Amino acid sequence: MTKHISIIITLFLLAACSKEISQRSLPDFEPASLDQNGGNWKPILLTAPTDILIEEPLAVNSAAYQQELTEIQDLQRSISSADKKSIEKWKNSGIIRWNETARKLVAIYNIPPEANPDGTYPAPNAQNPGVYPKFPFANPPYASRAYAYLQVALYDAMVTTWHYKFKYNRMAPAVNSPAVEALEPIQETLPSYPSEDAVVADVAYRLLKVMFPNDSVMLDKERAEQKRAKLVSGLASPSDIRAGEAIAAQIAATTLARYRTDGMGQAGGNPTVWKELEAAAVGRGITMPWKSLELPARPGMLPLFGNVKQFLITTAQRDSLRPPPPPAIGSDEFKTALAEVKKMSEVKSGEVWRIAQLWSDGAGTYTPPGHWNEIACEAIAAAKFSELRTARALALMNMAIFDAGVSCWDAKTFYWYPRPSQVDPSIKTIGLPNFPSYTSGHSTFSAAAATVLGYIFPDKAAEYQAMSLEAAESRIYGGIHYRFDSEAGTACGNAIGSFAVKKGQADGSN
Amino acid sequence: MTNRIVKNTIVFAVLFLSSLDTIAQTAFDGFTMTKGELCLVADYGQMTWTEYWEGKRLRENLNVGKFTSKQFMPMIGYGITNRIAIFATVPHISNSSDAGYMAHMKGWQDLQMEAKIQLSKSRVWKGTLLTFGTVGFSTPVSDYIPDFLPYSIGLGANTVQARIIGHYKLDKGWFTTVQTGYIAKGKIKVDRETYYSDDQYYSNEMAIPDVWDGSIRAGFDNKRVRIGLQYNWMLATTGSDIRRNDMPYPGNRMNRESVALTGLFWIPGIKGLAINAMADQTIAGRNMGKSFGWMAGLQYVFKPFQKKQQ
Repeated sequence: MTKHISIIITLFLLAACSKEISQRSLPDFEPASLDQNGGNWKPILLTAPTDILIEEPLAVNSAAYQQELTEIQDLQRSISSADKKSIEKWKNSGIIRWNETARKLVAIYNIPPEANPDGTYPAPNAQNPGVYPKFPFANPPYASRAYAYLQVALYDAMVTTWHYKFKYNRMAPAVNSPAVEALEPIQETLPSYPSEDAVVADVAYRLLKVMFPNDSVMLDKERAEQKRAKLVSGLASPSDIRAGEAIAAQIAATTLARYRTDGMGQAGGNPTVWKELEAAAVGRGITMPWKSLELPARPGMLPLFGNVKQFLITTAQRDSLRPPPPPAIGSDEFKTALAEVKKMSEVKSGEVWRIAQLWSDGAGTYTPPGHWNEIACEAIAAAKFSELRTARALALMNMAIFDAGVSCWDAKTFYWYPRPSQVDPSIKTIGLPNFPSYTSGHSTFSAAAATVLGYIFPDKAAEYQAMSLEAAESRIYGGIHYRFDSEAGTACGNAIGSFAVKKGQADGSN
Repeated sequence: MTNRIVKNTIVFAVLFLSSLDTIAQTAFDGFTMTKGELCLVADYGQMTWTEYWEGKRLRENLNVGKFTSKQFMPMIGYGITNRIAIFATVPHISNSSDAGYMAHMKGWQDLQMEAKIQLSKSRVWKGTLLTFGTVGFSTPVSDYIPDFLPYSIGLGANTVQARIIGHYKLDKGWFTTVQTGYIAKGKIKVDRETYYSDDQYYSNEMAIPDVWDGSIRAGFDNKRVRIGLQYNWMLATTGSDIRRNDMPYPGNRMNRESVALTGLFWIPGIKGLAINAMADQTIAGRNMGKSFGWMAGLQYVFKPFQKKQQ
């Protein structure tokens, strides 16, 4: 009997223990290079780092600076366990950590609003962000734009920071005073005026609180924690941090000015516009215009997102890159493509299903742009980039992703092409997106991201291309895209990615 | 002889039918089998819902419409001794709905095995009090997709469970049964590598909540018929709520309470053959469909290995 009982208990313990899930996390790393000429790199929205003005730092031997060092010594003497935890949390790339925060916020807000009882749909309101449906609905277009502006601002801010770091060459408190300890790994030859962490914390906070206003308290806590961690760890003095804050405030203002006037506010359109868009597509020969298959019918997602101002290309370039018209509905080419979707949609196991799910990144997730940000951050950590170089990689990739999204939405609205399930309602899916089919957003986003990442990490270029093609394929497997949607999206994404590559090649970082 | 067979029958679980995450609960009644007896059961049932609890909020979803789960459940039971019996079942489930464009799913779900041990038997007043313990496990028998709720046919987790049962039956046929158990569930591997539930998880693993469940039943049993009315509960011990207008996922806190009517009718003239039937109405829940389910089938109890009497 005792034996039996012990067997039962063992079984229970086994089942209980195995519930702990293992998560991926990035390795700790210290930047492999100082990138000390970084102040000469070409920024994106700024003309030059000198657009941003900060005060000259106090001399190391000044009484005021020495007083700052004494304050840090006091902080270190009375260090709390909370401070130690914060230092640990922020010791790696702050930019990657804020990128993760942005991804999490996107996942929280990426759920389409529930219909009203009368069959209409409520829209989130930025002026009243806390009521349902909470602002924002962080769908893939919204997310791609948020990631892009965040990373562009951080890149311009880092170039500016590097410019002043090596202009003034004032080192970290832990270097300037034998009485201040470095409580985390330190690059001793990297000047700490201005503090790059303070810049990152304040830029990220100022942008994300506009993008996700309900979470400003959490965001404020994060930025305060990051700055305090650097102060206590001996990496930044109060004046290093203040200089960083000054840079961040100016960069954030410049970036947000563009953010607020890039046309996103008009991207939703209205019932009159939607009718016009549909009629225009019909005029271009689309015999079965897209309609929402949701119940009740939901207005298409941001039909005028294709008019939002891009970073890398002009409107004329957007138009010239617009994919050629999709096959006529009912043509042989169309029927072949539709039959393929139908066939793949019936496979609900093995690699086909796995790939469809792996790249799905649908409602409630960080979106395909978020997925590629995660992939990029993993490569950045492995390559041990400096904060400056991290910012550059993420800015180039996210500009390409965002511009790809805009171009893709432009095509979607231009052609207003039906989803496979609209033509053949027996096609069931992994979850049907509520906007026109041609071209595939996943394919466009992914090709753009993979092209940029392949440029930054040439050793892995083939791997990224394969991933991007798999993401494109996944939409056919999921029953929601024709092969020609994916192929046209991939071609357009690659083209837009190469604009980012050209920008990277010319920015002085090589 | 007839009397003994009547006593030794099994009525199948009610909970199973109406709950995607309650793995088959067999043999949790208060009736026994004798040594050498084999029991074969084939049941078919359907469970439907049009409303579900999103967290604690009851709602409908026009893009799901009416959800239907069709289930075929073969089961086998065997009396190893007069006090110990074992049971095994593998249900086949087919899930669909009449609206929307989400893929439908079907297949063989989990093998569940249970051992039921009679712990005590005593005369109390004008009846008999029996107590039992059960231990069991379940494991998926196919590579079905657990992370596509509500269409997934199961949660894909390995489970182990233990249970106690108290059963009191008056000589005149009235009986009551109380049973409760704990089901420990493991984690599962899914195809997504990142997901958000109550936090962002960078993992292709999901933790499946343990469940505390049980039922209270009262009824009447004689050599022709057994009828019972019962209240069932199933409470997850952990898990998160479905977010507003989001999809469910396997780690949700899925709770359910229901009332069910069960019946077993012996077919005159064919020894050991009976029709069983049940109906189950969900009355409360969390992250579950507000379902109505029914099930019916045949069961046959016999002694295949018994030596012919001289």
